[in-house]
Amino acid sequence: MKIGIVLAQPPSYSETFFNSKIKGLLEHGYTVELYVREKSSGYKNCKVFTAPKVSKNRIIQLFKTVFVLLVLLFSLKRLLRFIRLEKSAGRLRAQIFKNVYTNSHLLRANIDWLHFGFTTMALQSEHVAKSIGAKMAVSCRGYDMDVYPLKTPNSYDLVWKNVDKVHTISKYMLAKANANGMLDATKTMIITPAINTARFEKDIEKQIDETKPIQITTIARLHWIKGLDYTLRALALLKSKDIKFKYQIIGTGTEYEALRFAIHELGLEDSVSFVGELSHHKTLQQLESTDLYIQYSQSEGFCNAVLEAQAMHCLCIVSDGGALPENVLDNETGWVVPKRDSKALAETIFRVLNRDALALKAIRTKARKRVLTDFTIKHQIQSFIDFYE
Amino acid sequence: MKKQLKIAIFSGNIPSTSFIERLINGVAEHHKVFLFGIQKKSVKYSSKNIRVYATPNSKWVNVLVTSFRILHLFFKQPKALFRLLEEVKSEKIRYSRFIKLSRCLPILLHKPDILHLQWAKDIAAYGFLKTRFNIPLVVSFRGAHINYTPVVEPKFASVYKELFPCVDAFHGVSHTIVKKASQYDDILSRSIVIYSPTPRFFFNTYKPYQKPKRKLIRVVSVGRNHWKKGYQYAIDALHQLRVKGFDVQYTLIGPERPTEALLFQMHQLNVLEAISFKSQLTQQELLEALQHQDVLLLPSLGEGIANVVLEAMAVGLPVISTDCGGMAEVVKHKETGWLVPMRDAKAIEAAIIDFDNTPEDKLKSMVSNAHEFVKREFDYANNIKKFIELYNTVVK
Repeated sequence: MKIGIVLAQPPSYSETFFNSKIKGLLEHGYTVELYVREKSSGYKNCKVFTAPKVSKNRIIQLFKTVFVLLVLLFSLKRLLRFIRLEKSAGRLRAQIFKNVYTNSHLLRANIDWLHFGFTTMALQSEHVAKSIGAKMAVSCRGYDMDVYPLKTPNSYDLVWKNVDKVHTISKYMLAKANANGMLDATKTMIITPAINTARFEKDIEKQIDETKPIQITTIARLHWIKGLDYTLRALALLKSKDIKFKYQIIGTGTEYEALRFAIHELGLEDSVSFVGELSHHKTLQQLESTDLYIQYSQSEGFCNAVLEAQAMHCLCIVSDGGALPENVLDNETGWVVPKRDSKALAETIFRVLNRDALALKAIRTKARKRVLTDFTIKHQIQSFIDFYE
Repeated sequence: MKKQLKIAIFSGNIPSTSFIERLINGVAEHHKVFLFGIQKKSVKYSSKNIRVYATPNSKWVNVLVTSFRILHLFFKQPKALFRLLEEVKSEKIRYSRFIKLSRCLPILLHKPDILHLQWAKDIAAYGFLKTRFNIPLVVSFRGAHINYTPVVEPKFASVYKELFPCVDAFHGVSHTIVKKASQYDDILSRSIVIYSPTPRFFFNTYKPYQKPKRKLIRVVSVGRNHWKKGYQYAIDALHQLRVKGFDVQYTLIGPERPTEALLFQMHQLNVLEAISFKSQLTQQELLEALQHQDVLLLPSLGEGIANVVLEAMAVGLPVISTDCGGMAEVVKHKETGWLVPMRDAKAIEAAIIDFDNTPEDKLKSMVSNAHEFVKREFDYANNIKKFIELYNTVVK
């Protein structure tokens, strides 16, 4: 079976989800091809096809268009079918013409499944799969379901009409897809992210040392949805109770300025540090020395980082935003706190720090065991095989 | 009659923001005002005392004008030209050198008696006009450039430490900001606090407060879309109030539509129908809009002194403000409004409930106190007089 995966660019080394999925499918005898908008050098796991670029220079663009159309003449039937489907959906001529150009690499693909890695990637490509005689699949991830439809309501209508199977990364994302207009008859499957258990084999004995500052970590883009401002305020409340801690945020992003200012205003300069982006290996090293992992996001599609933190014996405190309560079971494998409530977060941290070492150990162990059993790549690959079969 | 001084009121842009334009017009009643900077649209000043020596916005026109100005300065003061050329060499990129040259040439050609920088950050680019050309320098502290620029861009903290000792005088929009700026140098003896004036027509519509006989509470905030404005805490508070059964409507004047973050928050908290957005209004429209509200909320995380709070006080609208920047100098808790901690939705919520529970008599006296206070302290004529005194001390 031949599967074409559509992404913005080939997955980088740290994108566990796509890398493990592609490798796993290849190992099971599937052929996988990547269809991307931007090619990055050095991706060798499978064949990569790039969408034609749009040039700002009109003359160059004219030549490119002629070339693309000439090449498409070899797939004339598919092209005509695509145009007919686009027309029947009521698309304007200029948009159809644009879509023919930007989808030309997909229109020539010989595959059984065309799987859009993000729902937003399927926009303006909704009729490609039907035109080339393939089945269409989309994955629903955080931004796809949580944010994009708020800005452009009903934008997925054509996707839902044409898709054969929908993959969501959590129950929450499935509910969101339903709320965003997915048809009741659509076949769906929840396949959560997974971790490479081989990297988490080391059994670490962790215990909070009260004589030292508590090591707290969050892995997140510096983005509003990650709720870092609420986290910082909670930590300020903790500091006012004279609790010594070191908090590190691993990640970069556009909210740096706002967060930097918050740290200054909240008097946390000596306790908080921005570590920036780290390699996966270094991130795991940081998790190894972390006592408490916090993910107080406003919403998460699922959150791989929380899985890895649990596998690294960290005590995890998360918000009830999005799928986080599926990732961490409240009072069993960590703690789930109502979102947007710094005081509640501070109180939970305080409560956790005051629990006896044995109780904490039980939670750590249970969390690690659950992640290493239920969220394995092996399990993920098998689910994808079932998905395509 | 005293000799007229040539004061350069420099904000980088012509025309400038409304409060700097008010300063320009006010000072021009006493002295000549020179305007330097990039001219983005045409301006016409009624006062003959205002002279515009702009740097053109168009690249090619700028090349022509700057070439002419180079020649002009070469014949007028060749030494000054060479010193300026030497100074611009410190810029790393060739284009930045040209930009700096094109912006500083008119200042040297028309050499003002005082260069008054409206934004403290500009001292990094124009401080050398004092150190190398001995043009007396006045710097204003208006908010962000002291409150958060040096925090998020630490290089400015070093620039301030290096150049503040050379500045002749400082103006701060609040006592708090002057105190904050004094961490960079011992500036207190060279500083004066002059509150920004509130336009008179806001006072003209003042009416003694009358508590409306209805359950609905109409809350309004005014300001652009920026994280510093802290709207997310206001929306959190609004949500909590609605959960508790309060009928609250929140209007945001300034942003045409919510940011992605606010939009998400409004959906997640299910408060979509309780919030409306109105794009930027003229001052007259703002005045009218404020009259249809019950309380003004400033949920900001950083301000000098927010004009909108002063304007609300002037028209007789109760205010709830965070304790950011110099707001505590204006909003005295339970005397002229409600002062709440920053980043604290629960405190905003409690203040709105307290406002709702306050009897009409008490509200009447709070609003009247606020109105009188702003009238006294933020008066236009008094404000200009203080600036003139400041300039006079500098040239002495």
